[in-house]
Amino acid sequence: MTHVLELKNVSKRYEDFSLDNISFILPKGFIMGLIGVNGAGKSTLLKIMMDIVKRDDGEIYIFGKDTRKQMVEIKQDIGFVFDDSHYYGHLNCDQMKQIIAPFYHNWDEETYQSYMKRFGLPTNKKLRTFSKGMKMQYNIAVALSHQAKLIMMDEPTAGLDPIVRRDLLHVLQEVVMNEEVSVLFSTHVTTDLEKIADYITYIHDGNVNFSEEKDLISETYFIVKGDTALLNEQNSAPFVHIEKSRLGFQGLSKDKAEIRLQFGDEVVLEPANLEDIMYFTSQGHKDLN
Amino acid sequence: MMQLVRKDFILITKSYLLFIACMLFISVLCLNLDVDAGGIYIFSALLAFFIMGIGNLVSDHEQDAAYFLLTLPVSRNGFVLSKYMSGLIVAILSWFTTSLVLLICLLLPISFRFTGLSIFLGLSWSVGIIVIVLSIILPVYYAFGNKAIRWLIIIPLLLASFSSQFVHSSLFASIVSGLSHYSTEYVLSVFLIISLVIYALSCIISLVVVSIKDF
Repeated sequence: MTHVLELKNVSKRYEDFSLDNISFILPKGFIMGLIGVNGAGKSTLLKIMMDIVKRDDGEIYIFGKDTRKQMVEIKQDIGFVFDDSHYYGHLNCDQMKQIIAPFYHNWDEETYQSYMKRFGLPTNKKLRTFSKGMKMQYNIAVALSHQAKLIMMDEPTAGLDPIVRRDLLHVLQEVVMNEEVSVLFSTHVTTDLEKIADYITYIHDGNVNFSEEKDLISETYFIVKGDTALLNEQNSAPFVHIEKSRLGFQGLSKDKAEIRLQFGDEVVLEPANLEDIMYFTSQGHKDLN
Repeated sequence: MMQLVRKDFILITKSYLLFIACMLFISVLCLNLDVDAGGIYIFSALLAFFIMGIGNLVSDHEQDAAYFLLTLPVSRNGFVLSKYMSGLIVAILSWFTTSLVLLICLLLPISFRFTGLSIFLGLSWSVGIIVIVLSIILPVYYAFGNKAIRWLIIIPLLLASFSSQFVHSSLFASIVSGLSHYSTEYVLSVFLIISLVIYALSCIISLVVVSIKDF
């Protein structure tokens, strides 16, 4: 399998935060969701990949090329979408396009115009007058108009209304249909990823908690629900974290056999979604700390 | 890199039209007040710096756009070098426009002295002033962003304010007497070369700053 993106032990240290030995692989033609709570380091990691932030250690290969040596060449094939518009707000779409298009050898005017039409974006209105959704749609139109092989998106759906959000997710699914394009998509809105992602990388406190196929994650993690009276110190070990309430307890675990051994049929096992995994894992880390 | 220079000039277009309009008005006004061509060149360099330099080359727009610019297929070195090249082009544009405006003024019924030496003097002043000020501002801009720039833009204003006192000082008199051994062309050439060397050194500092900077 060809890897579009490969990170090996990437580290970045700040005074109050650090990314430690981040490693994962994105295979060609798939969508990977980069999840984590706010402040987990998702945006910093994307910026490191684009050389906007310098890494302290580690290697990053994109399309098999070393980003330290061939970044300019690599960027020809990357479409990057920020969580906000960083374009010149006093320009309109056409003027902005005049600036961006000459940078790319493969700029495709027809594709650009088709996205402008699809999103219904006005070409003569200043970008600063655009709504959050329109700005994001314009970012995406630009990112998809130069035949990029890797689309990186930093929280693209945050703050968007449901219609724009679903349309955006649909566009991403269309883009990866030809199996030549891969997408790396950071978000804390995990429901978006349940719909479209093939792989999930979960970053917590600057570390990769897991980087797996989404279906495998769904099969691995599950929520256990039962009466609080069933819990004791011994049988709490297989849980990532447990929450107790008047109605009983619920906890996240990935050790199905051990849970069945400890509790038998007295507890209910339900598949865990990404939000459950993110929530319980982050709470579990707090317990440890 | 040339695409980044092109980008700067797309952003500068409106300001440049404003600069031309200001220069036409100011030149006619100054010439009627018997200000010589050299003085007009100094004024135009300062005007070009504020309208095009601060307005577009170094501005909030640019600071915010740095993220998007760095996602484009350009190197960090290209990012810096293009800005220095744009600065130099703005300086030459300021000189060229002012020369053109003064040439047009020759057609008007205003009498003033405008020779080849005036044009060379204009080149030295326009390019010299703009590149020296940008030499100070650009590395600070890359290292600390816009907040620092807001303080630094008072440099040309302070220089302008103290220039009249400096012209009447004994230091200035001794410099003038020392320079009087040389021809005007020679002094202007040396000034131009020194300012360009300072600009090149400033560019090297900016390249180092940007090569390690986290945006």
